[in-house]
Amino acid sequence: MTHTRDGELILKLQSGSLEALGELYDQHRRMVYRTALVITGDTEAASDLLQDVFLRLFRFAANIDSQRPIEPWLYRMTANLSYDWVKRQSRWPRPLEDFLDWLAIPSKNHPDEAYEKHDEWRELQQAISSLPLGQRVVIVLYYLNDLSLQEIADILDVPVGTVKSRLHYGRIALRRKLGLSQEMVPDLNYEGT
Amino acid sequence: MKDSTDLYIRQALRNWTAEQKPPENLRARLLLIAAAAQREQSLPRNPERTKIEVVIPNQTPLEQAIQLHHLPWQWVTHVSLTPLRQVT
Repeated sequence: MTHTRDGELILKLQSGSLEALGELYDQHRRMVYRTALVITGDTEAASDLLQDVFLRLFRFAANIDSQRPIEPWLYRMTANLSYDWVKRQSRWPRPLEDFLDWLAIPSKNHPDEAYEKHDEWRELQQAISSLPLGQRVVIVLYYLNDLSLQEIADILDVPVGTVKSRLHYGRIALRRKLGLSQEMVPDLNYEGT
Repeated sequence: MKDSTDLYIRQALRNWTAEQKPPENLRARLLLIAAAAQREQSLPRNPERTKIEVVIPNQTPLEQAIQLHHLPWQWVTHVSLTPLRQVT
């Protein structure tokens, strides 16, 4: 049903409809934003990337097949742009003042009060950020977006074996960094929306 | 492949990201930028330029040589006069 609706919107987008762009944004913005946020760990970057993804969707609408679901395209674009952002960040070290700000106001790099509320998130975010980028992207697509190994392989244009391997080593690294064992896992009963 | 680590990671990620939303004004900004890009694309590029105006000078080899010969002199004059202008 949603797929058909997205197809109609893509057709409108191809004829330059800004309304269609707005509707596609409304439907998929949270998924794109959350994916970019977990990969980058930065709210400002996630907002910029969200805008960039949808501007590219608008710009390259003519190349998109309206008969196929739009989500894989959005995931691919989000993953690629987030990947580039993280690589740029690691290439150019922060200026000293930025670094001092960052030390003085730790919450600046974390979205709002959630920083204080969820210690487990802070630990998880640090653990995820320390993963190699390839593993990080796979972890986010698998755990956050519930994609299958095959879907992730198609999105990232890598063999399924590579996805399995990145997921395996990513899980081992996360388990180690979070101090988790299979027997002792913190209880997380509350449910997200 | 699903064990307690999977459950923990999945639940922690979902709990946290469920509270995160993009800025409210981002939608309006996106549509403004897209509209501006659309307007720009619909304009013809360099509308004032026509075929007649693109005139390739039909220079002889001698004229080309003279032109090349004069260029360094123009450059030297410009450079040599610059300090004088600054002094005065």
